[in-house]
Amino acid sequence: MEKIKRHNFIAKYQKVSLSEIDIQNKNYNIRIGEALPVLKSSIEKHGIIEPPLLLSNATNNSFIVLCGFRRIGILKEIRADNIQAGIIDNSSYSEFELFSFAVHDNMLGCGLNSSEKALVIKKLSNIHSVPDDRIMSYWMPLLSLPSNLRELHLQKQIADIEKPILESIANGTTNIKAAFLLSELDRNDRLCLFNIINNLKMGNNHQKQFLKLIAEISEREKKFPSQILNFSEVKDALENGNHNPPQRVVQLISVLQQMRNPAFSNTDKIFKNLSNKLNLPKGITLNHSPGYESEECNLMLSFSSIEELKQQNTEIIRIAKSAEIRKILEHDN
Amino acid sequence: MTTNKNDEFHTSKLDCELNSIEYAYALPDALGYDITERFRKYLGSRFININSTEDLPYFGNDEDPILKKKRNILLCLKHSPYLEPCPGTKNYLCCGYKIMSIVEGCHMDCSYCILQGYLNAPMTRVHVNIKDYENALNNAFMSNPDKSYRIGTGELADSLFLDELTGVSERMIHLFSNYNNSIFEIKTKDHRIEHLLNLDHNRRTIISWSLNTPRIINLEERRTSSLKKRLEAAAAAEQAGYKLGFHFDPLIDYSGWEKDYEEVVKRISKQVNPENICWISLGCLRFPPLLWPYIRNRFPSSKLYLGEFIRGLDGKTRYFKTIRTHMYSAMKKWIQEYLGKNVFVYLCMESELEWQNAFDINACTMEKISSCLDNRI
Ligand code: SF4
Repeated sequence: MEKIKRHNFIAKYQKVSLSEIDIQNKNYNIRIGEALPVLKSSIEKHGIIEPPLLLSNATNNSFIVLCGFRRIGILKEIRADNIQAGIIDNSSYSEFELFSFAVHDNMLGCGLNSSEKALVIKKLSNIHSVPDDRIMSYWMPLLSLPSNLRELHLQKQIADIEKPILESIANGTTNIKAAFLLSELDRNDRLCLFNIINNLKMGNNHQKQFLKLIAEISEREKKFPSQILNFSEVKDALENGNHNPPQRVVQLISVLQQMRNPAFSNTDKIFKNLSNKLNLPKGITLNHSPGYESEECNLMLSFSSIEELKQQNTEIIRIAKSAEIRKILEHDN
Repeated sequence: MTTNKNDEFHTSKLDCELNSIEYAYALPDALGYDITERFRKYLGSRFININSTEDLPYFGNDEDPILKKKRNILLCLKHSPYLEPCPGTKNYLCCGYKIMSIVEGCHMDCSYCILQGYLNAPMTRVHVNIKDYENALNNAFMSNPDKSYRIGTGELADSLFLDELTGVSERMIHLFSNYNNSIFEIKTKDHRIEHLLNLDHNRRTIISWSLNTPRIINLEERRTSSLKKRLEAAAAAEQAGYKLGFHFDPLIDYSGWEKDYEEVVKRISKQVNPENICWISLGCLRFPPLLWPYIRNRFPSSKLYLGEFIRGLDGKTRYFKTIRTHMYSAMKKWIQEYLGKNVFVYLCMESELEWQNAFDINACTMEKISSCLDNRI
């Protein structure tokens, strides 16, 4: 249960050998994703400016990291021997107070990304037993998250998804809304769809569109999302060797839209085929009524000279006599 | 003020409805009316006098403002017009129906209910000046004896909501029984009609049920009666000599709808005599797009979103036309097969094109539909 005293954290600064720091203990770690390259180059150039905070672990004479996981990770990577760190006497503070301190410290530093916020919410709830209403009234506003039950539930769901996805949210390649959609899926489906998003380097809007379409098609067809990917049209779009990844994304979305809206797509295909056969010249376009709701078609002309207009007049007469325009009107009815 | 036998008639339906009410707020000009006084009597400390609508509580910050609006009642007066044309919808054909919105709101909770989007209504309204509605009806019927009227109370409410307390249906049934140029329609998803069974209606009232498949009732129509109960109630109404109506509205497209809707039509045929069915209407799901967030948030297990929608000529979300045509023609076929060719079937708020595609009726107009329906009364 959450209970926090108002006091200052007092650290005693001393030199600590890196080998004495147990970085496997991640109780207070809320970092997900790689450290920024700028942090590494700064440490290489200037050393540690802000010393990490450690807790002494009396049981095995080691130290646990409270704040500064990334800094210590980089020092280990560059094979430094020791570090100046602040040691906190953990007997004076509860587990929750220490965790809360770690969250605030990280927020004040370089802030928290979306995956990290989700992890904080999960730890508050699962490890520190903070009640939902307290998380919504204090912690979610603090983390700049909308505070409502649905969001709380989604944040907990996100924190549970696989590490590669969390890392991809953290580095901004997977959109948080897309992550919500991914978190609703079974593990197998989730990883399958995530790999496609990742491999095709889909933009934010395409990610959401792709996942929503797949979810709706699978619900309608009563199939698993990963099974939808095995439909031949979808496979063709995914494996089209003539297309680069952005072109594949466009083709994939269009195929999925046709599968999601088969009745509309069918009518639309017929209209487009017939209107292609009309060989409309430049400056004349033919449109159907919005949603094919009425019998009306719309012929638009654009011209910049009397000659062009006269030419279009001849074209209109040709169109009016064509079998295709008759078929279009009949089909619309 | 007249006394009403409802004062002694306190049934379980009414108990249920009264229990669902948190408070009834009465405006000063609503005091003294029979209905207001009955609310006062039954609600006791949950009856609150207010000076103006500014004294009403605001539910906007509540977790479910719509539910709050359903559970709180404003007792107020309605000013003219008492009889209004059905709101219809731009570019789609209406049937010339007239509505009386004596009660506006409903205790049932359907995912697709457009009342959820009526943001300006602070809560369920009960207009207590029924006498003014009665006067308006008497005037209209007497001054236009050659005109036919089809009038209902079920457009902005379930007609039977709080009906025993307000006595609306009973009074209307009595009034309409005196005129041959008009018909009163009660539209409901409720099965509790006992209070109507012994009234002298002179066949000038139609009791209509909005029907759907058991799957849709379970998934999308909270707190409504089951299909079985609705059909049993229809049989009881038929026994009591009432004409019947059925509204398949909204028809909802889902995988397996054909089998399910056919079964509903078959079940009607087993329960009532088609000769007593005055009309059956069909209307595919449609609603203003602003309803989506309400459906998503209030009905997380709703499957309506799986439909194949377009934006109609009136801006409303509708199924793509070929789906509508398919649903309407299939329904018409089953109705003719199980209930016979004489049952009158019409489309509610559909395009001329749909009348042509589904029913093969060319150049359909509102006047044509209206006169066909008028001929049924
Ligand atoms: S019964 Fe009618 S008025 Fe009541 S919630 Fe359902 S659709 Fe709305």
